Amino acid sequence: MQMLYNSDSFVVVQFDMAPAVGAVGPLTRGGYEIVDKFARKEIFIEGALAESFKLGVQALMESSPSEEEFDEYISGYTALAQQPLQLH
Amino acid sequence: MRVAATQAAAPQAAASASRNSEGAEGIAVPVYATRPPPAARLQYELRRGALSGSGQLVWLPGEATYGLSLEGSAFGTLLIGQTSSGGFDAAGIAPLRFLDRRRGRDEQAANFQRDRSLITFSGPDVQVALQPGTQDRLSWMLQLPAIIEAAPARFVPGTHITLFVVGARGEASVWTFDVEARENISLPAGPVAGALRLKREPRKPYDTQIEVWLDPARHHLPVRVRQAVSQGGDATEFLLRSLGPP
Repeated sequence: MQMLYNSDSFVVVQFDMAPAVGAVGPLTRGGYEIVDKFARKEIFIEGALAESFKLGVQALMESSPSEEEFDEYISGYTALAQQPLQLH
Repeated sequence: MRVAATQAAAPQAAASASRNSEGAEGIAVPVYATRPPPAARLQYELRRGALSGSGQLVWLPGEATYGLSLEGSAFGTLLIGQTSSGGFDAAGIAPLRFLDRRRGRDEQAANFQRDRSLITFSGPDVQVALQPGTQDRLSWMLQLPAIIEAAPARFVPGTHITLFVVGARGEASVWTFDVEARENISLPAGPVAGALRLKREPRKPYDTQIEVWLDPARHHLPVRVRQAVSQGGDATEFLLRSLGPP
């Protein structure tokens, strides 16, 4: 578990999970937990979604983004993830 | 080919009156006695604005040569990647080659051609006169500890250390570090008592501001470093997590 980002609006924590003993398949499994401080919601993304989140961050970092630009990017993911919750 | 001792000869102001060496900045660069620290690997927590990551400084001094590297990354992206290699002379650390790569951009190099007393660059067609004690933008991090280790009683708050520092893109200027205070600080590695805080103030827009905390109990190696560019973006900070053999 490693803190990657902590702004006034969001926290992003990376989780690297070791595979179960004897497990087959990918060597590691992990993802990102994103906490939306204002909405008081947290989401966990993994797999392809986590990978696309990471690639987007890396592309963003090429341009020395401001905190606002980072927050805006992250909010795209929290908005996506909150939709299923509204069905309940 | 343009021969420029420093890039401090800004188009405006009286600096244009003299383009020679540090004369342009009016500061003499002394040669200090040095005592380089032993080999070490310093692991850091890296912070830049809201981003957190990790960094590592590896110092490998040999009998006559040294290797030095600094890496910093966040979100799996390299933010800082620098290496310096060279030897030692009467002025301490004597770089031969400095490499700088950031965020996947092309690697840039500064080559210290000691037989010609010149520094040349892979990018800009500029030459800088090589003076005794000249450091690159990474080796200063070990030259400062080496200078203080040689005379720890001399560098008390109120004193200064002046270095001539060149980067990989032809930038070259005099960096004056003011010894500001002894401070007790708290780091991921634990508390540090009496860390010596030095500060280099920026001297023009987009110049580098540096604060560095050197631990007397760790050969005055940098346990905390804060670098910012005046008028440009977030500061990058390195906070010691652990120190061990390389």
